[in-house]
Amino acid sequence: MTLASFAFLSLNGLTLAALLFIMASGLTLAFGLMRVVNLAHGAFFMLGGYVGVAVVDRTGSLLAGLGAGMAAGLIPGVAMERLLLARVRGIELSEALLTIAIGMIIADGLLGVFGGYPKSLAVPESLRGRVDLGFVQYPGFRLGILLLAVAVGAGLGALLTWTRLGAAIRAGVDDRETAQSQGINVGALFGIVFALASVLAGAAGVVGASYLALAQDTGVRVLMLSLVVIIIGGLGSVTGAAAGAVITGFVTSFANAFIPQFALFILFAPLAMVLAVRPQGLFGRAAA
Amino acid sequence: MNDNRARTMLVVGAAALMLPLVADDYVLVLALRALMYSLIVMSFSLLAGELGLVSLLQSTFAGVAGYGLAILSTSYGWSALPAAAASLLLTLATAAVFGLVSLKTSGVGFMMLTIALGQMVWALAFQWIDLTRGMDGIVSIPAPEFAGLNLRDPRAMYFVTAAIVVVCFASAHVLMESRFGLLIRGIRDNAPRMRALGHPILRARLAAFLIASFYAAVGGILLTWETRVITPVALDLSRAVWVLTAAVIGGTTLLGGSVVGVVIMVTLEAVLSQYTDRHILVFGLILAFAILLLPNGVSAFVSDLWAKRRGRSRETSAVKLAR
Repeated sequence: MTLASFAFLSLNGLTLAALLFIMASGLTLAFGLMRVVNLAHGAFFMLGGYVGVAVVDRTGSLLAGLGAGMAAGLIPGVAMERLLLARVRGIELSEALLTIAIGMIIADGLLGVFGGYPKSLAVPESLRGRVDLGFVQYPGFRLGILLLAVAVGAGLGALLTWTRLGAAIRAGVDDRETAQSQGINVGALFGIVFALASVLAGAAGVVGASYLALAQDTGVRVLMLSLVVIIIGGLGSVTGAAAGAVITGFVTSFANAFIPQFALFILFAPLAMVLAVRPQGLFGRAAA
Repeated sequence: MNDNRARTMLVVGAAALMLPLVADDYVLVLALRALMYSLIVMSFSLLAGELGLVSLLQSTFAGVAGYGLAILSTSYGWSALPAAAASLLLTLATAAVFGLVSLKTSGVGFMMLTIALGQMVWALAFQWIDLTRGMDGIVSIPAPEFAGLNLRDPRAMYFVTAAIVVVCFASAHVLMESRFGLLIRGIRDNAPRMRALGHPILRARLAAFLIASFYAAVGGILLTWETRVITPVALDLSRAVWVLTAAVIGGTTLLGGSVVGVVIMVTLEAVLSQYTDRHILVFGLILAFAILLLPNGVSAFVSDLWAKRRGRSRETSAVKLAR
């Protein structure tokens, strides 16, 4: 393998990792707070993607598309959390099953509205160029996704480390009962984190549609990859989501090039290895 | 089992046996599929109801068995019975590996893991085109013939299937009434205490997982013989959700619930297909409403009504699942 192709595949892995981190960071944080996993997360990705692509097609503005995609994630996210999940609060499995049902409804609805043809984001002319990194030419837009993920990571890190809200979230993730007894409203915090996660899923759908065509199965694929990321990284840990995303992104990218018939199945290897050694994931805390 | 329930089951069973004599081919094929799917749903309910683990892998195991059968009997020209036996073994081996990876977790973590593993198998069927022919799937899988019975005839297939399904359900019932059934219910209710009492938690969970997967594999083999086609759709998450929905609306009480849920789903699907392609959307709505309104499932709802008249109450299966 030449250095250029190695660099190219590494960048593919890294930019896929970026997309997965945007998806998984909110998912894992919401899980850490309330042990609710949003299995409609892939459907929110699709919804954000379709709405964002439609807006970009009409207006030509990527920012407008990104905003629309984020709103398309936010609205069903908040509605689902306030109107439906609130009714079965605390019954973990009912909550998870309810999110599957909503995910199925959204995905099948999208198939009905947009049809089965794969759709992609038309990246604006000005962002379509390739960037010369010295050893390899790489699509600038995908590097943009990487920057966006770094920004999301840095933003989440700053929020969690330096703000009162972040401190409350950390307290809730570490020990929900104690946080609650100290007057922290974990239910309200969860609403905020869940909304944030839904916005991020919508945004990921828009930028992700630049190279993962939106098709019937895309939502479930992205959900599966996000689940692998947070299981490897450890449920509840944003750092873990970053580590899990890098592992998942690199394995998928290199497998795609060398063993395409096992491109996704090969993820079983890191998943099984991590679970064998650390069942709680790389950065997860052992269950009490 | 009390006399009342035994009598009900006897009547239902007799009616089911009479079906091929009165039904036309369309209804018969629906009934056949319902019988086959009821094995997969029973496999799910066994794990969800008795062990407290929601596994979205059970339709995947049916699909693995179906693919094994399809590949061995088309690409390698194996005859029906050896191919079926080998694909049962393949499924059990897959279930053993997946079980070892996942059974240390529980609750939502376990469920997430089963979704991820199921999608990996889907991807394998989709991407390993040399073996599985990808999205096109494997077609013209030969229907088996034993001892002069041609199972291409839906009536013959119905009796064979009904016999197999009865054996499977009866054995599952016996098993759950045995010491092993007590053990896994104990693990469901309080795993730390069972561990403290010296019971091998992981081994018992794995055994239950393998047994349940065996029933799903039998369902998958019968389905593949019946439809004579297998595609990655068999491994799709929507198929797992179909099974989940049938189990939730039927209630995860082992025997009755699976059958009630499957019959409702198959009937609904047949009716819906005359009006819309959006089955999955409708099933999603039904699943959501069932979780919100009927946490016990339809069959438990009915027996709850009975119990209320007798002044007894039951725990909801959602509460049972949550423990």
